[in-house]
Amino acid sequence: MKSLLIDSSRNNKSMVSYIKDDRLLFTSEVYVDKNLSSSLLPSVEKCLSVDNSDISLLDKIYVINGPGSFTGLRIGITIAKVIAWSLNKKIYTISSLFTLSSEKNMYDYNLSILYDKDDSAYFGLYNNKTTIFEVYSSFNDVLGLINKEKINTLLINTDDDNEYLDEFIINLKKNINTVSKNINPKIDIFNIIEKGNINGKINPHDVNPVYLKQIEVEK
Amino acid sequence: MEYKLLTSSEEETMVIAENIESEKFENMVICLIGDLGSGKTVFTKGFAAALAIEDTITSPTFNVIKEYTSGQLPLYHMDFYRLEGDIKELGIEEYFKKKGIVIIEWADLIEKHLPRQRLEIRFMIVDEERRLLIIKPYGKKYEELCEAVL
Amino acid sequence: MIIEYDIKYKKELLELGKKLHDNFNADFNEYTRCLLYIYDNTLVGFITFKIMYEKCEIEDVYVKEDQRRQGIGKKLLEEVEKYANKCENITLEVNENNINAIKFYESLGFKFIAKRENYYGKEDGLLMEKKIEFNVLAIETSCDETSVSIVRNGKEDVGTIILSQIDIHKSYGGVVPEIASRTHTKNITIVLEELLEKTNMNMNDIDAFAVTSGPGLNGSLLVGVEAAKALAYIYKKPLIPVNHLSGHIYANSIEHELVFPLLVLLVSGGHTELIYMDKHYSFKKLGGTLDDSVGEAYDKVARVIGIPYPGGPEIDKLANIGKHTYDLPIPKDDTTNDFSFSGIKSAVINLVHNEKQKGKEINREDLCTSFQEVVIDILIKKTIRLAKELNINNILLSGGVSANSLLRKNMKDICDKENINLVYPSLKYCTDNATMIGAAAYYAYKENISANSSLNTNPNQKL
Repeated sequence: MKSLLIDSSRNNKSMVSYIKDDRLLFTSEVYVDKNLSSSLLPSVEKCLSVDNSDISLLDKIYVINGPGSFTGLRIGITIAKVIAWSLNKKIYTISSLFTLSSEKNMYDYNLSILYDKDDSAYFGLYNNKTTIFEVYSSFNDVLGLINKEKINTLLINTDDDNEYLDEFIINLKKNINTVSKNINPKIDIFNIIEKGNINGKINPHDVNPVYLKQIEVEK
Repeated sequence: MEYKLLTSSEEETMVIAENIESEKFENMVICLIGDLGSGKTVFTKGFAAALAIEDTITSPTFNVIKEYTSGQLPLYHMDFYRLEGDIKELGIEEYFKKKGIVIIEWADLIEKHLPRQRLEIRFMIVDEERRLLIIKPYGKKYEELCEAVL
Repeated sequence: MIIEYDIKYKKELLELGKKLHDNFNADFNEYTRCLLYIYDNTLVGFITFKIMYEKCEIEDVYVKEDQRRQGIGKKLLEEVEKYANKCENITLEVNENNINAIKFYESLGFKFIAKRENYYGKEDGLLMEKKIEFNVLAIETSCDETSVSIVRNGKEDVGTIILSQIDIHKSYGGVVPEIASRTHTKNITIVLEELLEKTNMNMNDIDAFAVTSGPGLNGSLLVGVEAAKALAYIYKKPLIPVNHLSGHIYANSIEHELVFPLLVLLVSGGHTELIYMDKHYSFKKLGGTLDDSVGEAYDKVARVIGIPYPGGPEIDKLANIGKHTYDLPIPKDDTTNDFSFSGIKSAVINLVHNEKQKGKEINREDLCTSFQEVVIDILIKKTIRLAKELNINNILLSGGVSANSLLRKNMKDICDKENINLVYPSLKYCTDNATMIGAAAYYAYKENISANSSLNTNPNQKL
């Protein structure tokens, strides 16, 4: 079983992983400065060449579909769509928010935070592998959503410390016993793949970046 | 703090642009506001010439975004003249972080998308030849630039 | 397996070759080549051929008697076709009495075209030819239209799909870059599928993939470029990056034969240029706009008069009804090859403003006519003057504004008078489409232009 996982949602780093028979065979990381476009497909090629395999022999394609860098997502998703469509396969999609909380831990719930502007961010709340919600919100508003759940222990997974984070944790502790933060969390590729399998496969025509933010125009 | 400058020819507008260019820095954003024919693209030409960009700077109205990479710093020349309505995502945010210079014509049409720190220049048509430029810096870096140049 | 001539098989080759004719030799070079079919370390068959520019000629084909009827000859010929993919055809001579050989070549797509009397001593030779079909699948996503097309040999439009986003952007007044990019991402595999269905072809029929790499909006270009790169990688075919402007120029080759040297007037929303071509895929910019492009001037004037986006075609329509009653200055009427349209834009604005001040109503149709006549006139004037100066008898119109009715009519009239050949594309090929990219790609490929998986977009690409 040969699987490819593409994650181009981050602003600073992109990743292509090749999994063969439940083993992570190779991960190609690209540090994005301005040339993600030059490097993402070559990363895919590298993965396959390490296995001496051909793209046509790929069994499954997984792609992180957002939220995150608009440009990055477009590149990764276009590549995934075209490969899947050509091979007549469907695509498994996983949210970038989930990847932050992908590492196994003993907490009831995991909260992923991807910062955006000022006091707004993308939030993803997970109970094991079940997604409770994924939204774009202000720190204040999301408190309400979180408090709807009965949470005993919560782990916050995020890339960076942030001025709002500590205050946010104080607020959370009002209703939750244990709240910890996990800066720069490790990514568990196999959990990501499993989540993708749980999410189900999608026709490549229907795979598009998930922005979470509204883009609608009101005239 | 606003700075008012009166120019009597396209050349004079370009000289002001060159002066501003001499204090340029990465991720600098200049917003140009003014009616059709008020001198926004002329200003940009002057700025680009000082950046040593070899290409002819032409109006980006149709293309929306034009990129010039042959100068000392990349120049991203944008124009939102054609856009109406309240758009939540334009697709220009990444340009503010690309370590180049962003010049936006008709920036008043996309106020919500402008970075807090920027240089704003309003062009008013006095008569056929003369223009009044009202320059307003937003943010320390731009205030310092204006003090040094104007 | 098939390999290129290797000297260690020279002896075996000469043995087999002399069975065909006594003076068979193994002197090969870059023009005269040889492919060997090796089985079990033994030479079992071979083919020799010549490639010179657009012609490929088969000289000898031979398969050992005990190895015939196994498709070796066919494989050898198919391999030669790959070497000949930049040629227009492959030819060979066969003895008119060699029925088996004739049938064999016919089964591979060769057709009889001429007799060569006494070519084989007392017997006649038949000249047979197979036309090379080079199918390019082209992708164009430089702005707000997602288009894909299959073009054969740089001129035959096998099928094209264009998914325009005009309706989406209309409500915003113009193209919103982010929306354009998202729409391309949404549509790309859908249009590819539609294309294959429409043309009844599959990817194995495609010889190369082409894509617009620039100029244009970066976010939009990216989708097409990544898709083309992925396809080229999956199907192991060449990838040809094409400049959008050369696409507009080559839109003409779909319906016409390009004759050189020629002068191109490229007029679109984003560009106004005079370009000289002395042969295929060789471009020299001789003049262009110093500020607004012609299409832009049209758009801005349309806005000022109150015509919604896209205003160009509407002005053209109204101009046909009105009269030239308003006095507008001729833009940059000088001896240079450059244009400038920001002045006339200002003039129109001032005119409208002044008339309003006087309480007069603007006659829209007349204003359109006045504007259009002045603008088209200067375009034609400078183009013709430059053509005559350089002694060029061929003029080519290209770009979205080449759809303009007055430009086509007046340019044709003047060219007829001056004995200049004028060529312009049908309306459907004037605006953005992938067909023109597929056509340009063929000629780019002949000039050995190709790219690999690290191809990047170039939003500011020049010709």
